[in-house]
Amino acid sequence: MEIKQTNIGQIQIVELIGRIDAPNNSKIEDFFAKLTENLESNIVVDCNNLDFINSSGLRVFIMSLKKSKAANKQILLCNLQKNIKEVFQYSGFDNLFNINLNKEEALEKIS
Amino acid sequence: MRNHIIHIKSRLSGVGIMNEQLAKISKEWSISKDVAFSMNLALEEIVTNVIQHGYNGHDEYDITIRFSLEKHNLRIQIKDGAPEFNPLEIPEPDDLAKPLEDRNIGGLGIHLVKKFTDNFSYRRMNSKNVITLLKKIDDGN
Repeated sequence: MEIKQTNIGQIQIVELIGRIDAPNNSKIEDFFAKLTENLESNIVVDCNNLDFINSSGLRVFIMSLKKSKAANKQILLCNLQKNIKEVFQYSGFDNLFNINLNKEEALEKIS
Repeated sequence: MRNHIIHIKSRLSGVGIMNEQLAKISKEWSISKDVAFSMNLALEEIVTNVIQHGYNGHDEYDITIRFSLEKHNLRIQIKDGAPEFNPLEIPEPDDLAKPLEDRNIGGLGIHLVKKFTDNFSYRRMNSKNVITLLKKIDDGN
């Protein structure tokens, strides 16, 4: 699992590469806990190369969303693969996140 | 029918080995990406549940996993020696349609197992918990 972090203007881009599976869950959880602490910018999470997610990974996204809302900031996901979208849909997470955005659309929505 | 049996320890590195083995046999048995994804998700949720709740996080216990390629299905059987526990008795989450403020964090694992498999069963046999997951492989998947 690799996490790449860049900025476009005031927006933080987080690219997730690989699998959010049990061996990687604590790494992802720690990363997003730190990222959403004292949040001062909006975040776009690029999932183009995210191949797997489990329920613990979903938990990280819901916690991050709660923290970003509390800080009055946005967190958007983009480029979700078909299988990952299904996990979000079956969990009712498609009510919480727009799961159909590409990166350009996400950046446009946020800026 | 083809079988592949692995024994893992009740710890994260064991789950990593299990995931690698599933990826390897999926390739060898020409399992589609969708079926491999679904079964990996279901298997992870079951096994992490066994480790965290069945074995209470103790990392030295054994879990046996048998992968079987049948004519129409991929079948995975998970056997552990933890106290009797039927994951099918875990209540379904009732807040999936609720807004963010009312959503619980967690409780989704077993729900996802049901959604991503075609059959999910539990039985207690010879002081072991035996969970069987089944996914059809021949209906366009």
